[in-house]
Amino acid sequence: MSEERLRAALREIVNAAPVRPDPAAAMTSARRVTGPRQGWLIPTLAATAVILTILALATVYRADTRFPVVGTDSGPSLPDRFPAFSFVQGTTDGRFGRAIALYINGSGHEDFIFAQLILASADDDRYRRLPVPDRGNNYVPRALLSPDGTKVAIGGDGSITVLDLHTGTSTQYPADAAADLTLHAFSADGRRLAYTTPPEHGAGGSLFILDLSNGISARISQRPVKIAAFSPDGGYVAFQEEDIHAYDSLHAEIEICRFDGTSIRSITVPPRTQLAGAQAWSPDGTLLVAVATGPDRQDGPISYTGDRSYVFFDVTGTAQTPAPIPANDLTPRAFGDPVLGWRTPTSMLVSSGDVDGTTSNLIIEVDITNGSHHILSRFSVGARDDLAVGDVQFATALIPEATIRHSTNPNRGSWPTWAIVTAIACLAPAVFGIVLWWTRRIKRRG
Amino acid sequence: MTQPVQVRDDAWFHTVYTAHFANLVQLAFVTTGGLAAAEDLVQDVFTDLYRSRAVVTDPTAWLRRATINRCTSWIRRRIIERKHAGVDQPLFAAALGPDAVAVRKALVGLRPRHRAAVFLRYYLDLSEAEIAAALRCRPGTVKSLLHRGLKVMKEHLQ
Repeated sequence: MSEERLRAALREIVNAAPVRPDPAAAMTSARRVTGPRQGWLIPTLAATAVILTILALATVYRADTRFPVVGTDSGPSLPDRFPAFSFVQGTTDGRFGRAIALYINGSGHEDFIFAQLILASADDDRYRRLPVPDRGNNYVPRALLSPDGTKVAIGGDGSITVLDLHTGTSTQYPADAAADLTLHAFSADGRRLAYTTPPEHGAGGSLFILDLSNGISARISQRPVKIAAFSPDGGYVAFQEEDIHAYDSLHAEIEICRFDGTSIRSITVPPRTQLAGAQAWSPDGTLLVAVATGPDRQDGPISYTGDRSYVFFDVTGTAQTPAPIPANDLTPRAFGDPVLGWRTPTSMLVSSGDVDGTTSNLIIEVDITNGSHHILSRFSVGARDDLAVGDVQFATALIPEATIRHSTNPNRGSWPTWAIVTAIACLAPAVFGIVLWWTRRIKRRG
Repeated sequence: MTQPVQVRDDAWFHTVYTAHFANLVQLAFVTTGGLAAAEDLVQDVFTDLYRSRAVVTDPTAWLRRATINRCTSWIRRRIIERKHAGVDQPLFAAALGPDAVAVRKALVGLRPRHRAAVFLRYYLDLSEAEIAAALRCRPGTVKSLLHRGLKVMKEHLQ
């Protein structure tokens, strides 16, 4: 078909449509409209929404970092459920307020390098990650929560840092060694810290007591110490030394000393018996708790570790020692002290994993007079159930008066910076694309 | 020497409307294939022009562009309607000669922008630059649109 025929055909098609201009109709409809079309409105609103969202996130983040809870009218409380591990766990700069617990979340897997040191509030349902120096290999340096929950001590290379959770300020105390330190216990009054230096460095694993009031460290033992616990009255320290020849590397004696190193008493314990950590001393100061491991069982070619039990030793020579309590299901699933604190002079808190058939870490109250126990709290299992909770510590001075609060909606704080940046980086192109599309659409329409 | 500012009052709008309404309806009619839809769409375009009259610099190009864009959107909606409702809307039908019938069938096979380009070039006899302004594209794109449009039409016409 030639161009002329095409033009003629087009003319015929178009002229077949009886078009009549109708200015009156147009003017009528046009008069209903007042003002210019608001084509800029939606892109502007979208851009404003994005900016406000970013500002809100930034504000929340900043607000979150200054969230000091200095005292509260209500008493301390312990959540009945701790939240599971989360990558978008908010952090604290130290001004966290009073904490009821400190624990490591996300450890226990050799290929997982994101373990977090978590603080749980004593006054509400807040949980924050406490940033600690990264030393590689998923190694979170041991931190200790003070008995009143207002301080955290973190061991470092040649020094100990004590963080005030009310003000966020930290104080560094030089230690008697240039190498990596291991913190063991806070005294009941929060004034002293027991720590050891690594065996291969400096003083060779000796036990030191750091007086936080003057920053002076005093050596207590000459030999390597593995476990230490302060007496409730704050006057003594009990510790168990290392014995590399023993089956469990522990000396079969528990030493009790004053802070000047003077030995008060030595308690001989059966082989394969270890002091139950920093809270091994009963609140009335009469008992020391230890975990004893029985003889290994041999089943054909397989050897099983012997049964464990909580055993009690009289410190004063006047107390009646409770009977041993089976502890196979009442010791930490991953790692941490066997005894976490005391609710009453005769009931202690322990950590476990499978006592009720769940896989979560449990906090259990055990009556030492008869061995009965019940679950106080549990740690939720997240998307990754191969991650463990370890080294659970409580603000031990708050535990006796703490109520159990029902926790359903944990406040993890605002997302960490990397998550906010990533989210914005992912969303920004989409928002920009929508705004651009809308703008072009408006322009195309005139 | 500065240009006198044109007062865009109702009289101005009336003049523009009278001058362009018919051509735009024809453009919309060729693009959409429906007379009623074409009149509605062009009426909407003039409503938009009334709103934006203060900022529109070239009303003729603006009107053509807005009409083509509205027609494109209308066709898209109609395709979706047909897909989901399964009912075809009746279009304007008139007695046409054999060439017109063939061209009309060939136009149906084109995309809306190709259809508009063919109309602007072979009915309104616009230059490539004017068509480019109406379609908001480069003159090179107009050439491509016309070339492809005619090629598809020829396939249909053969």
